[in-house]
Amino acid sequence: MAIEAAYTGLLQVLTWSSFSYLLYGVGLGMFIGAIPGLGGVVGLIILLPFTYEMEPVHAFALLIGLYAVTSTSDTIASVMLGVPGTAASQATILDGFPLAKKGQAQRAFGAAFTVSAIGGLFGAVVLVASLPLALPIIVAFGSPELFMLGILALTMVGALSGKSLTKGLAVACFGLFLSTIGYDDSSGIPRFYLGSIYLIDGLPIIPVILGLFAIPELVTLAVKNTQIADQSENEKEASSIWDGIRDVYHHRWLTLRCATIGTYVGMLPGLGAAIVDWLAYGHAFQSAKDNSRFGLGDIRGVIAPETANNASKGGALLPTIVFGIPGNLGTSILLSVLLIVGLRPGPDLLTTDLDITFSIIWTLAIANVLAGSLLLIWSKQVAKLATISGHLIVPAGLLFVFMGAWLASGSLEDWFCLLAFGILGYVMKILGWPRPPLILAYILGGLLEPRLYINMQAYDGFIWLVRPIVLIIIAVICFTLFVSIRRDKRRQLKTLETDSQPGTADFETGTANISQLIFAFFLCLIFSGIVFSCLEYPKSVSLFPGITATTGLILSTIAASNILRSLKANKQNYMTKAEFLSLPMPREELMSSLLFFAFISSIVLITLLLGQKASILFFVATYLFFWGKISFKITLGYSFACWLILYFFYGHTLNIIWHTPYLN
Amino acid sequence: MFGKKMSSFFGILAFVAGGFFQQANAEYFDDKNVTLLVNAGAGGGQTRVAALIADNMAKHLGTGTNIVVKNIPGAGGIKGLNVLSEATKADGLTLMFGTSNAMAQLLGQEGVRFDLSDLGIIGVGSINYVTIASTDTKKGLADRSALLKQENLVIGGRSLSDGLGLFARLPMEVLGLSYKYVPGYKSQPKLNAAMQAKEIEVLGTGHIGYAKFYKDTLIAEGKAIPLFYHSPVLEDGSQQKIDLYDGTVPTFVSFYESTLGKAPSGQMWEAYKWVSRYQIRPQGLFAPPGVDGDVLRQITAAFEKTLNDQGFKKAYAKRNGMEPNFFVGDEAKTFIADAFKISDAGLEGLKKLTSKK
Repeated sequence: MAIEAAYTGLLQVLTWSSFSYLLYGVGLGMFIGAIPGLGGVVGLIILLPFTYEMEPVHAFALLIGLYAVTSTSDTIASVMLGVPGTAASQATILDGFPLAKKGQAQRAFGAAFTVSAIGGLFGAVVLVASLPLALPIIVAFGSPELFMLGILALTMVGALSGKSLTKGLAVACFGLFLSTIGYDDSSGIPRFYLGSIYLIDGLPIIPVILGLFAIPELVTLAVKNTQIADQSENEKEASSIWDGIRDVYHHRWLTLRCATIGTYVGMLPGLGAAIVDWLAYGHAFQSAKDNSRFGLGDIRGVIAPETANNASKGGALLPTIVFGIPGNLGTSILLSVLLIVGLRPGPDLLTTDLDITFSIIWTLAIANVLAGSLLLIWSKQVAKLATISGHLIVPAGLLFVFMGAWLASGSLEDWFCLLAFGILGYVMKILGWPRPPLILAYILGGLLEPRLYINMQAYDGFIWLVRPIVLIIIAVICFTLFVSIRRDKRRQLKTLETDSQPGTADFETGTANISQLIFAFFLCLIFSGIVFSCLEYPKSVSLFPGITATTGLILSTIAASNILRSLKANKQNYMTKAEFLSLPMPREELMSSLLFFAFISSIVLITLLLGQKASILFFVATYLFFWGKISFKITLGYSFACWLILYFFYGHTLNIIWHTPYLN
Repeated sequence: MFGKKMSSFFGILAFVAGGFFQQANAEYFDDKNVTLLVNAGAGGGQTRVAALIADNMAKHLGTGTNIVVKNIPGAGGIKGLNVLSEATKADGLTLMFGTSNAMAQLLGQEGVRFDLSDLGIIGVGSINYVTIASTDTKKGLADRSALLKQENLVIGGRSLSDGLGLFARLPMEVLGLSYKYVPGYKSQPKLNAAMQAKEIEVLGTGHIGYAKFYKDTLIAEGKAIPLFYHSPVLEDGSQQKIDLYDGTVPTFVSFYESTLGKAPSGQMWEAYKWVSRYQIRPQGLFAPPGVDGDVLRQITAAFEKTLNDQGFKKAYAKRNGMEPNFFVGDEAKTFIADAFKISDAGLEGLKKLTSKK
């Protein structure tokens, strides 16, 4: 019966009508995944109304086609710009972006798109094989296990995404605090919202991510007047997509392991793709004999997360189909479509409607292979973006960033949020404080706090900590911390021996100076303020932010004292007063950065008066012509293209509500 | 003679002007885009119904009218209602479908900046709730007759004031049963997963969730039972009968009376009566404050035509398991106004249930 259903399902997908819908979904998914700030959920929301009256097979061909491939195309922004195309591609930045800077974008793409296809196929196969076995796995992971998995992911990202475990975890604590802004779900009491209606439901994630990652990179491109591949011709290493494909073969067992991690973690409801890429990255790091190149352009740092985040799509579909328990927001929308077209998750989809289940699985597999193949073919052209002038990337980049932020809630506060986190992200970048832990912690905070509360209530106190799977995860956390502390110690010893600056384990600079110290003290102040603010809330409401703020205060104090110790040692050994007080970057660059921030802030001001289309087009044209010194003809054509995007894509396809300007 | 001519002239003028004015009103929505805000997340039940309304109502509003759904989720619907009240033009071209969250306003919840009585109330719709319990409780719950023997039931819900949690907790309060309430499950599927993992023992669900997630799975497998369903409590203290559960599930009131041999009473009963009437109709179609009366009437008429549209009714029943059940126009306005006429005991009961120590 299963074989017959599998065959019927395949035939249903290969009809002209279904395949056309699949192609359309794949095409749209590739486009949306590549643009920072959009993501698969936006695409699903756009397509959702069209599916209401469709045949189930057509509806799923369209939606799964899109859903399956956004985590393939999101690699483009991660590798080329250092901006996560979606929440699932943060870990890829750590090694993908350095590869692009070395001129090896094609190699990164070759590896990423190949393993994306493999991971997606693996996820589809496991989905089939696991259908009868899934329930015991899913119910074995209750709130305690899901909570500890989240802590594990935070530990990994804090330990691996920067040079310093302390800084990484301190920043993670800040991210956890940010997730508590707004209504506490269980009590309905809003916290830390500063009386603002905008913040009463929490910080929207898209402006935060785009601000932290995209703005600093675009500012750097604008100020330094460089290309993405910013190393000299001598330093660049030629590469092709075949190098990447060969890398995948060379690391085939790693690929298989990460596909397994992605699929089975993806099955666990609520965690989603944001965590699987970090777990996979952490696994690749810990299992490598030589992990010294991680964060500097190690291809394994691309292979691991890209395999896992595609494999997780198949995993997340399993509880959705079998139990009606969606693994993430994307599968929640797919579940909704299941219900609309009259299907019921559970026994029906495993018996009488098994052919539809198989059509979903076939769609997933075909879409992944299709997208991976197409992107491999186009990757050479995409990789050329690394060699064009940054001045041609910045305006379009900012257009997508600002409009992506606008999608959050359609208010100017989204742009204020974007700019505020843009400034924070830029400061963190130049001072060498890692940004990925902040984002992951912010995403996970919304999952961890209710889970913690549920654990304390449903399991009477802390007894849940001795559950078997919880204990295993705690052991992995301890191991991760041990590996990270040992790595930090080795690095410190090496520094003392060679008397040179620490090598970069990430793409951020990290020279100790007074600016570093000021930032550390700033964090200490913030955490202290939070701890005091917690006193005004009931205990159960202040528990989670209180714990994170206290932990953050301890960690940032340790970080501050480490920096102070380094500065004192440097001062004794060789540092002059001027060096002690030096800025973290050349003065001209700093002034250019400030000017550029003022320039992009003008987008907000002009929007108030004239509206978004006018302000963004004004920025694009003036940037190209005056800042970038681009010719008038190109400026005109470029601006017209931007207008088309604003009008047709954002205005008519996404139907956004534009800001009503004062001078309307 | 002259007077008569003038009267006729002015009469004709008034007729033409009236007709012109009427014509202008009738064409108000022609070729216009109407935004239908939904104060819940995309993909959820509210959005599905909103999409259905958007598809069907456009043709009843005007020629060439287009209705686009836009989600503004957050804070149990408060955020969307605030936006509708404070930041939306009163031109009738932006409406909102979603939860009215009257309780948030009734309890003076922090962050509430809307007043339902200021909004243009076009219609309010009902859904139905069921309380479901696991059979694998500490004392075993083979059938609902064993409910009164239970102690320290673990009840799951979204928050302190959400409908699902209230329809699971309030019956236990009225029955005098001890329980522990664990909020924080953000959606029905999460509650489903928690019950399957034996993390919780009781939950509330809408009738759609009952049919889609529980009836043919946990309930059919004997792992859970539907205890009772909830419908508006009538003046005589009985509950409205609803034909959704094949006659196998009693109302809460009939369960109470048959097991305890008396009618329910007390502070929590007063709270239950309010919740059963007003939380049962949590969905509504609203316009921002200040919309012109004629425009509002046009929208209301279009909505009423939509509800009677056979295509709409069929699609609604297919998606929601029951025909649309809405109060429209004045009936809806009266319903919302009555929501704030709660007894002191009932209000105290609600405050007790929804406060955080």
